[in-house]
Amino acid sequence: MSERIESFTIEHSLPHERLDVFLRDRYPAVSRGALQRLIEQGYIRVNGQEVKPTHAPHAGQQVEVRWPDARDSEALPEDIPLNILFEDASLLVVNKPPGLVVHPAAGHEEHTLVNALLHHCKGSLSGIGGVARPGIVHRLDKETSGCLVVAKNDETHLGLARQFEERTVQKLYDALLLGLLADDEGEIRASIARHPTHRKRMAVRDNSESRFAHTSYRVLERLIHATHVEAEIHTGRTHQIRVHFQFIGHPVLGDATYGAKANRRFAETTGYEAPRVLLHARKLAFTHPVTGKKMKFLAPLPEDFQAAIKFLRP
Amino acid sequence: MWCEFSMSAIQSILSKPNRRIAGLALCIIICDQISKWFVMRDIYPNDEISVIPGFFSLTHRANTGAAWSMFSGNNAVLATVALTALVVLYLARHHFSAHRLLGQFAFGLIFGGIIGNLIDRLMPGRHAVVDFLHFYMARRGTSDIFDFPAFNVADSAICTGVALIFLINWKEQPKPGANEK
Repeated sequence: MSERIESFTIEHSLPHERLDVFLRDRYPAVSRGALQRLIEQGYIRVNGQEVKPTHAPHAGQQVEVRWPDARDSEALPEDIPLNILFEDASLLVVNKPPGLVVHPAAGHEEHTLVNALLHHCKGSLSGIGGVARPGIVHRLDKETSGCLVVAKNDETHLGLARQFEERTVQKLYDALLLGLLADDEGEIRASIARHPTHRKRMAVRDNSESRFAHTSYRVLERLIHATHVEAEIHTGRTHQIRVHFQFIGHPVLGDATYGAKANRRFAETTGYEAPRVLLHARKLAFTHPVTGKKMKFLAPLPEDFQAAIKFLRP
Repeated sequence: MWCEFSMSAIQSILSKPNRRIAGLALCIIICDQISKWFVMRDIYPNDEISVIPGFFSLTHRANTGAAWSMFSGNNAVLATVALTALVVLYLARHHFSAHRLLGQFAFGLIFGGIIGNLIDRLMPGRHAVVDFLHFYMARRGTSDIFDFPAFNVADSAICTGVALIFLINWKEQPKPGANEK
């Protein structure tokens, strides 16, 4: 795809305006931040010269805009090792390591699980998720470890997606929470929607975009200033477990997004710094869409999780 | 005996225009409130229960705004607006063919609907309209083809009533020399 070049002459002098704001008017679909970057990088020039975004437009000046190529949206295979719990012709279940992003997104375009899958499955992945998410039926957060199922063809993908939608997939997690939970077990039913101010966060809210979310939990072991719980999620909202446990006052250990202050206090009190969000998808159970067999997969608690529990045992 | 009693009660209601309007309004209010009672009892807030997959589901939403959630958060103001509309429409009903049977039917629907939602707005602890009928057309992937905001029986009654009023008044063309009132 070749670059597009546009040029135009400025009609009126606007001594009190900035070039990036002026261009925002002319190209409403592009953000001012993006225009600023284009100006700073020289893709937008005035009279052939690079200028600053604060440049005031003067009548008669020639503005030249070179729109850069769109980046490839297709992901490339990468030889990243995978811990595979099960594989057959239709699907595979991986034990995702902590720190691996599932699919490419703004900011994380390479070294994702998708890249690893493209290498391992040699292209034999479902196409329903689009070119950026081949095979991906559901997601785990970057720092969450544990079971994740991947579809190798569209039929399997649809069969799995339907089970997730109908809430018949069993999803069990281990979590280390800050503080000591009073009850031995409980249910959290709280709607989740985007956080009103922080773009990358979710929050418990009740507005027209909120979606119902349900988490149940039971305490496995009480540790020093922390609790080891087993959580079962009955819906699959973004960051559901982290948001729900923050909501009841016990954010997940290691979660800087949903429990920054609490985690800092914990580190000061116990001297333990969590290596990551201590959340692990231990069990995943569903019906194989092709064979019809009920299947269940278990990912053993990873090293860092076990180390945390050992450290925090009374 | 009860048969005769209810027969004569119904005849008495149907005998006068105001009573017909009130009778229908009451039926709408009852249907509306009963449906909302079931929804609040059996559906978790913001949950979706699929009825026709990809097209229609039952949900439970508390709406403090008007249609399309406009003016959200202004429950008290909207309750006042509804009450005002009710009074104004009642007083002006004859301008909109309330003397005709179909007009009475339409007003029964409209008043029933307004009051049904007004009850939600005024109910202590609720202070928001319960919407539960969700029509949409899903598309594989992220965005939907359309997503109609959730509504309820009262909304349906109001819309139907208003549509009928429009229909009646559109059809009623003044004929030259005719005794139309």
